[in-house]
Amino acid sequence: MKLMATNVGRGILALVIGCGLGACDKKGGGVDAVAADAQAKVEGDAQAKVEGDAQVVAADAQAKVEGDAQAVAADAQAVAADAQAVAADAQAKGDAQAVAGDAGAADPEAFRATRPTPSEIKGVEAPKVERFTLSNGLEGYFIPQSTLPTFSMTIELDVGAIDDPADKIGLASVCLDLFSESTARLDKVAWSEALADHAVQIFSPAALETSSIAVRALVSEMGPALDLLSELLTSPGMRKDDFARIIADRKAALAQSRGTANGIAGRLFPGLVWGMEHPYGRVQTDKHLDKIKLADCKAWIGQVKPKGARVWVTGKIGKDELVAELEKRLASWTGDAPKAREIPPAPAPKGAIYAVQVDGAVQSMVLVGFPGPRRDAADYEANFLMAQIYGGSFSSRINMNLREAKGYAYGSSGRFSYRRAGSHFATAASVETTTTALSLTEIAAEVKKMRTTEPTADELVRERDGALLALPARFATPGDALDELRSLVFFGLPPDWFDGYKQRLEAVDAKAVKAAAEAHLLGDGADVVVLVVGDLKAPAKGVEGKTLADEIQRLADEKVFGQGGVVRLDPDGKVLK
Amino acid sequence: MRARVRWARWMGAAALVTAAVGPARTQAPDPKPATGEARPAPAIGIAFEKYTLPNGLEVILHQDRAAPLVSVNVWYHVGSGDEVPGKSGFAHLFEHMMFQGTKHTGNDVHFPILQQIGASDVNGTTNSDRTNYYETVPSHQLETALWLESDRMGFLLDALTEESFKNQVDVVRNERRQRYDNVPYGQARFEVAKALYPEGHPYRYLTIGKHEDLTGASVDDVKAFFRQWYTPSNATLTVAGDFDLAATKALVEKWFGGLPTAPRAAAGPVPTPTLTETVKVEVPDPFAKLTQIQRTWIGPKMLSDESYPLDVLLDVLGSESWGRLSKRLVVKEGLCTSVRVGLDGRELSGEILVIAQLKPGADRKKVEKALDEEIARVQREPITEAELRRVVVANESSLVWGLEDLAARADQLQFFNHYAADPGYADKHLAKVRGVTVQAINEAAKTWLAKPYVQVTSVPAKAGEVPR
Repeated sequence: MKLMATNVGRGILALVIGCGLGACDKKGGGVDAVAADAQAKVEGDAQAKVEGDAQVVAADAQAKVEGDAQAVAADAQAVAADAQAVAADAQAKGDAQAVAGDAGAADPEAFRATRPTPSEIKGVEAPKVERFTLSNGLEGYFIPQSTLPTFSMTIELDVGAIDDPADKIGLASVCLDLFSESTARLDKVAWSEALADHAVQIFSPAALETSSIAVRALVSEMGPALDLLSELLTSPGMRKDDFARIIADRKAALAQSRGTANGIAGRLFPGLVWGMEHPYGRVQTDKHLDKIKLADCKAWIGQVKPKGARVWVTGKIGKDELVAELEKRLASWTGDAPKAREIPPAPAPKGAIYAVQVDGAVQSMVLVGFPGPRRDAADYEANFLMAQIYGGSFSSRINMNLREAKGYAYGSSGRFSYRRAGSHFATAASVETTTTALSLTEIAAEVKKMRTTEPTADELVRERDGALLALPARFATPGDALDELRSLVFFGLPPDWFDGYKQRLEAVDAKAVKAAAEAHLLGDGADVVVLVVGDLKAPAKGVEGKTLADEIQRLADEKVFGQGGVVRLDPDGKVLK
Repeated sequence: MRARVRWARWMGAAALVTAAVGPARTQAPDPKPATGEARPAPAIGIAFEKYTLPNGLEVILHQDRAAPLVSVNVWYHVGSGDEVPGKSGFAHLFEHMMFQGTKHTGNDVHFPILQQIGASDVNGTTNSDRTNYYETVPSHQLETALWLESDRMGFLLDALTEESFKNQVDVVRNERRQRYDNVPYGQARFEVAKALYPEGHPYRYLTIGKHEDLTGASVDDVKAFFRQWYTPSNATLTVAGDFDLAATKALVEKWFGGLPTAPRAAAGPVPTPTLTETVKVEVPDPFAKLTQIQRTWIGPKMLSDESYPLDVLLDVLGSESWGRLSKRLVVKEGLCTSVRVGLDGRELSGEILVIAQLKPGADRKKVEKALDEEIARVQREPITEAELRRVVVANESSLVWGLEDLAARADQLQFFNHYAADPGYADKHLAKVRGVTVQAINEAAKTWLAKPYVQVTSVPAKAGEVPR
């Protein structure tokens, strides 16, 4: 079962995907790797081939979804021709192979050397999004579920961790956790029993820029689920003992996150790229948690109001019935929802190699990054394909280098994480300790190559066709389709953004990819942020008598990543002498 | 907010028990509501067809034309539980080699080809019982997926190279570092297995295996393992999604029908280990900042009759907030940040786990005493009907939610086929869950939790105390 995205720490979304004692899969092992300490659940005794998405620090779930249902069909149809052509190519190659390898007796298996020709591509029926507005001003988006008897609803508000006061970082997250712990009538245990009696889940994660209150249930339990939601919205418990426990748990989670390379890297990296004063870069400490009081949370929850907020619903139910059910429960919940604030752009990158010591670490977390373009940039598609070729898939250059060619890492990736006001790029890998500096050198070389030479035709076709042909999977379920639209709305993009997506992708040629790299993939001596978290006292591979610290200093002296030198940090991001 | 995640759902193999079963297209007979309540219980049913090729390959076809996607999923009925001493970790290392190249497709083409045709979910995983390989592709590319899967089933060794093998040894060792050696509580997992399973038992070194066994493995081992285990007779192919039945059968015949086979292999018998007395171990952990107490008992086999009441019992103990251990240790007494409880079923024998993560400064003795008391209480007194009902509805609900994802549904069919020899076992499974009584649960508590166990306590290592 795929599990929900969960908010860990400061707006870092980690997808936990069934990575347990039975089996760990690619994404499960990867995306949660960095943010994982808080939920470093006992993973299981099972392994996977690829991890690919390793260490996507600050993987923002919002960032990867973009799209619109309506245009999918046309795009998928149109790409069929490309796919056919490619298959024909493969066939030609295959035939040649077969002939070469088999000059003598006829090989009954020779047909296998021919890559199959795909059949006729199917059109995609794009799910229709139905809109509604409740009398309390809540703006609804609905896609009916035709098969499964399920109901899923997420109320989304434009307030999040970025709005936390500077001395109370973590406020939104703590308050929303507290919010769904109890109601005025039911304490935490009684509330959890009431939910469990109907197999209803109600949870309220705070993200960086949004907050959500989500409900999941079988549609047969929709009535009880909405009754409970209504009770929560109109008379939350906000109890003192729950508040104290949450603060204590947060401190414990912070303490744990200081103990591992992953935890430290995930916590510090956004701050190093955006600046620790920037709303996207702040680093929470115990000091902030100590400042947060129960009264702050009661006030914070006061802004959880419907007018202007969005609600995203899928379920096996008709729209009219849905609206009637919602009106019945939510009409008495009124008031204006908060409005999104303006976020300043990222400051110019400060190049430095930041290093944090973790005694005994057998791998180092290595991150290289810098601020990137906005989601609505004109060259979005070119930049997307560029990032895919560099670090976006298993076959990407950085993964093929660090994993398959060098064997330094289990996986590596490079990608842009989008926020409303911009993005940042991160190349990330957890590398065997002695190869830390060697890995950094490879990263620098791959970036330089990306910036100075055009991608191969194979790379461009692979990622461009792949992006279009993967559209049906992105719209496979009502929930998937709704997520795509939700992302467009989040970034302020038009709902018909996907009209012309195919044309925009196809307009990207090798030259445009190189241009995107020159513009957005910083490196080749430019100031970029490097974060190394590991055992810096360990020996460095390939250089007699040198430690990692020595080798990192050498890279800084050679100004491989800019002018900034080496800066030693403690696990909370404080500069050490 | 932590995800409200029940243990079973993130426990991998166990997760599948409560995960996907296909859409209720073929409606199962309306099951009886749990414990007589007038609540409509969800109808779980899945349409599939299962048949076997002359070479022994099992084929399961499940049609769902909702989206133009098809998920191809192959289970080989071999896992780390079939390994022999000195070869720990090999089943998984071998799995990596299945992506490196085959005779007719070429080297390093598996991922690029799938990427280019828009595949959305490509991977392979290994556990103690089976190894699976899967990809979800646009439905018009079904044959490409069958081509890739059949060539590695039949023609892997032709493309095998020493260089590629050595590289994957490094990759797998890095995987072990990333998932076990460089994270909190990784060491504890090895300690638990070491205390539970004697030398020679295939669960002793976990599926990931020992570094020295990985570096000691050879290309010859790959060849022998392939020939012994990767035969069509030891595999099950599932195709789920949007396809034409007759045409797909023809494609399966074309690509898999001609593959040579051998009799289905079987590992030698492995006696179920018995713990004669409780073992308590303390592990200084360089990456842990919170003390963790993990208790593990030997448990019943996956999907065995005796596993059902025990599974319910463990949810009663472990469910977040209202579960007895969570309620007491996390909510009421505030000693722990979390308590997780679950049954990890497997083919040879399962594991019952209770894992308590302590708050800084919390008294370990108090936590142990609370565990003792709550475990004694469920042996002494029956649980309540209300507790039982909550677990039943949670099982029903998560089964339905698990239907949504096509790849998960394909894997679910495989799961029930592997453990119950019936891809459509979901209904029977749910009937068994609904049939559990408080008396049976009480018996299970007395049978399983009264036995000796292994307790591994991970303690934050002091500065300079690096145990490895």
